[in-house]
Amino acid sequence: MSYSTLPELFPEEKAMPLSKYYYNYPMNDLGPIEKQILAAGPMNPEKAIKPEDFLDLYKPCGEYDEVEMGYCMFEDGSGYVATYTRIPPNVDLKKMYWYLGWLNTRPQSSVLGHGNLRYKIWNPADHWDHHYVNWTDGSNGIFTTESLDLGEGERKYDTIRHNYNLRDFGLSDERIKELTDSGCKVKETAGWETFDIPGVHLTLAQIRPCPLGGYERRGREWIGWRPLGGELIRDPRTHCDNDYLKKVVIHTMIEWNHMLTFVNDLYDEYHDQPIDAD
Amino acid sequence: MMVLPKPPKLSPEEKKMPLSKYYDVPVSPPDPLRQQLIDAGPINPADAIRPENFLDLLMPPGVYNKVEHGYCMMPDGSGYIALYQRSDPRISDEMMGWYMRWMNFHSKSMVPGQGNLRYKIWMPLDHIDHSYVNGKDRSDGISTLETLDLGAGSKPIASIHHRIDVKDYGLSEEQIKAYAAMGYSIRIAWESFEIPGSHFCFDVTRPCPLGGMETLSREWIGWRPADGSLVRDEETPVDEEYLRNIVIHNTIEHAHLPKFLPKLYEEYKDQPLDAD
Repeated sequence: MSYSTLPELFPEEKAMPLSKYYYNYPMNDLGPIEKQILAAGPMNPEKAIKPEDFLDLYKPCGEYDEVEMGYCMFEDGSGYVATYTRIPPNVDLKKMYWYLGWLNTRPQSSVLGHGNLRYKIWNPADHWDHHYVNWTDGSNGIFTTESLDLGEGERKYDTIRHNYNLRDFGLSDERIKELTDSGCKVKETAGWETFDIPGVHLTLAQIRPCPLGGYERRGREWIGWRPLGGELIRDPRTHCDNDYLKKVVIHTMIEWNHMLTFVNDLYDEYHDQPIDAD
Repeated sequence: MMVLPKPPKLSPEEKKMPLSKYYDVPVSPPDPLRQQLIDAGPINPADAIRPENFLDLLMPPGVYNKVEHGYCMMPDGSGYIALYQRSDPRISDEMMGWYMRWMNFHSKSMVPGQGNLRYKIWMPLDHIDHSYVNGKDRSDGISTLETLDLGAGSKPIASIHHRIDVKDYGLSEEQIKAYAAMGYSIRIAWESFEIPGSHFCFDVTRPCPLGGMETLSREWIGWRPADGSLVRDEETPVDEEYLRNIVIHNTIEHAHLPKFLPKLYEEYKDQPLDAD
């Protein structure tokens, strides 16, 4: 993988103070535990959360699935991705959430067609652009341009992340109470994705306190599924195979680990600056 | 999901000690990714480092073996343990160094025969006693009494941890200095037991590319050092269940330390060495 070879920034981007987060915080490979898990190949699909049970991801603090990291194809040709990231106690969750909103606004010196440096710093090998579809908030979705192969040369895809409401799928007050009583905060919306080619991904993540300290992020994707009118709909046009799923796992886990390396410093420098600061 | 039992009850004398509150810090099962590796069963012995090649663990920064966390029986009937741990930002070198010495001394109200609460708090399910063999420093070894089955009822086994000089086992002074300059620390040791058997242990701690430090540990069960080489100790009891227990025990205890050590250090670092 060429994740450590940084694509050259445009001169206008290099001139931004923000560019130091692109150049001075090196990307790292997965750790040995994660690589050892991936080396075993696809997981047993019986240990995956089935699309129709996707809300089972939401578990009380301290409870896990048997497989928290892995990928597999389902019999119907759809795919499953499970990722897990430990967020250590020295990373403030507030700063991560701030970044996930802040990166949707481009710096004032951005040039049209050059992408969004605020997004590029998160995963220099793959990320290109990221903004609200309506340029104001996430209500109409979030637009993203990225590749998934960590800079190996595949094309970048345009994606739109749409919100859906988990209460439409059975997230009840009782379930929310059970989760909050265990120490979790419950997000009642999640995202699903469309692309510049036919295909859909259903996504769900849970960020919650980790019994070992700090927080943890448990992420899942069901490739080939989307929500519609309170039901899940299969889209068989969605491209999916084990190589693709493995790439999604690696890309996702490397970028979340990478965010942990810079987000404290970024927040400290930018959170009090104007929203379009360079 | 692994459900851990409750730790054994402390004695009335132990309960009275201010230190006993650290015994109540909840112990957690292994993190889910290590648990996933443990659930996958023994590793392929072909992916283990053979005892005679133990120095192969000394790899450049950021380079790892295919298997860094797991266990297996080797073809000759000996056992192999691989553990990978990252440092925790809550623990400083000072804290760790202080605790690793401090827990070898019993406090003034500890009752002989009841073990060492300073060691018990580290792993309440298994730890019983810990002390310097000579009562003052590690030069003659460290004596330990513990189980490894998370309190499932096995007989506690007494062991002595002997530190040995890596210069006698293949590394020159210059090589050691070169590794130290890269931020590496290297520990080589072996353990003997109240029953027949020997374990050979090798740990490498080095900077982690993701930040902090990482420790690559290996244990060869059924091997011990002798006159500059490793010799097989056929009398060492070992099977897959035993090896799995060690991996789980060590994974849990490593992750438990950051939960209590910062507060413990603040409370006790300036108190007399025998403080309760």
